[in-house]
Amino acid sequence: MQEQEADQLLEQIIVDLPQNLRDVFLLSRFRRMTNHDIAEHLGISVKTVEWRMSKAMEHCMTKLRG
Amino acid sequence: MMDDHDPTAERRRAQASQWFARLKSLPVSRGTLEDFFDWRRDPANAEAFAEAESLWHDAGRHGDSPAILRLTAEAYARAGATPRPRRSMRSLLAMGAGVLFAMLVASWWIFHVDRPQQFATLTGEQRAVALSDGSQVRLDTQTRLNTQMKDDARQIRLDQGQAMFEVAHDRARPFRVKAGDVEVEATGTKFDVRFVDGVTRVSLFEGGVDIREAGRDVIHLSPGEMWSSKATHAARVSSLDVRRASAWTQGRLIFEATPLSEAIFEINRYTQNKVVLGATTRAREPISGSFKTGDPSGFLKAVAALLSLDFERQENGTFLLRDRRPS
Repeated sequence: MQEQEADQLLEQIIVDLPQNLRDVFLLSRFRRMTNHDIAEHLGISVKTVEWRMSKAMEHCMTKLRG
Repeated sequence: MMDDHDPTAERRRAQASQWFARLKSLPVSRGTLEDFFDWRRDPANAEAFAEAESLWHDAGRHGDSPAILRLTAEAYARAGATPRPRRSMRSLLAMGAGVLFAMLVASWWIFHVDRPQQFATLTGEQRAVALSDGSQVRLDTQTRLNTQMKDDARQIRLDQGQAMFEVAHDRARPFRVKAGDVEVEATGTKFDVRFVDGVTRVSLFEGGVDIREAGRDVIHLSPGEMWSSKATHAARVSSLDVRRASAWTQGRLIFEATPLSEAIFEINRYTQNKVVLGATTRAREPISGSFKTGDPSGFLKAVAALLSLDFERQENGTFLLRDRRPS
């Protein structure tokens, strides 16, 4: 797979994430918010942030492997 | 490579994701970090974790994509999902305007102001920090550093202590660490800078760094080399014992014919329960061995046995290492 295609694929995988997982991933990665910030911002617990974050990562890793 | 459909590999990926997420909840306690290192000691686990890190890094390239920008803004707008009591239209409008304004300020702040950030550790504490450029920093005990990400450079100031940097490659933005009067510049590399007691030490594991000091020629280090501001100029670069130099990241200190007083100094950096050398005539005796940080008792037992010394706990919590009394 070309690097560019792989890149496109990663973006699509992120876009296709379930919304609750995607929100946490995006805020952490692109708003540079800490887990604590995200928890406060979304009104959820830090543990929930961690859980959603880990599910988002796991989901992306699995999908990237096809 | 891990097999794609191997259930063990899947479990490792799940664990790697959990660790990755968990280490983002700062500060990370010592115990958590030690558990993490234990887990990552298995090479297959380390590989799974590296995969998570590179996913995180690669995702960073999509920050400017319209779809990602839109979804991130939507995610941010979903603040406080808890149901609120109904409000009048006017207050809703006012609130909406307020939220919009706050978002504008926040996005301006995030994208245009390079906010300096400070990270610090207490005695015995370690912290892993992911910087916004994708670089990773691991702070050792009693460390304080500042980061500032600018458009043309990534600036770190190490005020005290020790940190290991794994720098994300970005040729346009050199990564500079200032420690005392010394500045270390890297482009994409793994190195360790220590600034303790006014002495700066740089250890290079991968890549290359340039070391600058006012009024001196720039020194370029190659992987496996170490530089110290303390040594005389001619002997400043020496070869690096990689295992020893990175041991602290695994919660260990390795001594190899290290003078006892120096070994005690290192042990004491990680604990409130200081070791005091009563047997001062033995200060230059060489000590060798691998010791767990934050737990002076293992070190004390070994030293006492090796050098025929005794140690006892003082009332103030310190350990006094003294000559053995004749029996």
